[in-house]
Amino acid sequence: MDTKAYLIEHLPERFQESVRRFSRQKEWMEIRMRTGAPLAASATDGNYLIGKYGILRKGDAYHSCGARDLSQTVSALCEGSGYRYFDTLSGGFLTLDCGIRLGIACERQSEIDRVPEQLSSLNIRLPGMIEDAADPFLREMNGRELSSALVLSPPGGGKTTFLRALAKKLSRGAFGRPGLRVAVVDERRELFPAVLTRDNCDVLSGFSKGEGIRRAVRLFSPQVLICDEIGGEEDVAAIKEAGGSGVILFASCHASSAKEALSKPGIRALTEAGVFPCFLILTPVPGPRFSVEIHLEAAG
Amino acid sequence: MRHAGLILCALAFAAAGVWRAVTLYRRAKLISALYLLAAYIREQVVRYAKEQKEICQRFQNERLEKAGFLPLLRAESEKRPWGALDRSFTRFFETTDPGKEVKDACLAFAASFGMTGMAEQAASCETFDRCMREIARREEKEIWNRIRLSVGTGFAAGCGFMILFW
Repeated sequence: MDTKAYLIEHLPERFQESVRRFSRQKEWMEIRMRTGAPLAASATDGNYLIGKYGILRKGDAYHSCGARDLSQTVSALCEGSGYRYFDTLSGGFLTLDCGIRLGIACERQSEIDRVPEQLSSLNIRLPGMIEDAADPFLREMNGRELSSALVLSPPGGGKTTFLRALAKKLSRGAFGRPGLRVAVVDERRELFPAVLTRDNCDVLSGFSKGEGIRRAVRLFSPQVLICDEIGGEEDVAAIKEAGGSGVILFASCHASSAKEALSKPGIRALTEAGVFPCFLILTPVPGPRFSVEIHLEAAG
Repeated sequence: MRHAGLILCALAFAAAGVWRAVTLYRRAKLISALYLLAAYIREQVVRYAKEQKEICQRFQNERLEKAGFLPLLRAESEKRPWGALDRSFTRFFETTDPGKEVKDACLAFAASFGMTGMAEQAASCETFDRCMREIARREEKEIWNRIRLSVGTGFAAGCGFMILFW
């Protein structure tokens, strides 16, 4: 069963048919549930509300989400085993083995485990499985020496999808380039959830990014190191360390331009230290299928 | 003939008392089995972080099996793992009445199963376990009194019946 069908099956029953109808109309990657509001979805060409008959148009009937629907959805997606995910649930997110990611907003957290209670909003994201997402970049780098780069895009712009595809292609070898030793530091298990094949990558999950990067460099002697969403001081220090050990680094950061990225002190420090000589800017292209435009820009 | 009828009647009253006593005994044992279930869940959650489906499928207990609860639990968890315990208890209590106190505790425990973090899940199991043990202990303590009372009342009623119509 594909992840979209899996997700629909785990939604409260009264929403399932509406989402199936919507799926026939649009290619979507995210579904949002908010208490007191209809379901909302982010598709490749915009954001939509979902009514009983698919896209919600003026005057259409719709099912409104209740707090119970939200907690039922989380419980169903955890297969009734929320305790298995308590370490991430307390941080307000959840990555399932199938790669589906949940962002959770709540009114309060439980006293002991800090698990969200009285949920108010839920963002459910499907994993991007686009094998050729990094091909335009690799094609451009064909025949050139691979160098470290920081991948930039606004949230939901395809950074994780790009890095996942890049890790696979680099480890396998592509565009005349032989396979490399690739280590992926995947703190939140978003890049390589359990069901995805890891090809020749060493995936380090369950550590903080900084710790993961240090372990990867020390224990796996990678030629390429990939990690998602950097920003914290610890991440920056560890990346600086790795950058000085001759490892090619690919990391991502929320920003829509080089200027925006450089406004972050950590990123500026890394750029000034010469860790990332270039930025890879991803711009989602509206259309029926998910695709991004990749723009290479020299840092500094 | 008349005397034989009256003796049979007295014995029937006593048998009703015995039957009531057996029912009470079975209920006490059923409650004991429920705290074993809570202890099993706690261990599987805290030590192995097992999925709810696996926990429901693998728990074994002869008494709960015979009472029809475990087949229900296995079927429900196979169908949909989330809320399996809740649905199984609800269906089980449609045919079995373990008393309001037990019923409420079971349904509250089942409703929270899988909806909390690990420490809270463990705490919830412990609370349920304690509650069931307490009820079972109380029931077992009272059971001999109740058996004596049931059999005695049945027999006395039978004797009274005999004296009245001899």
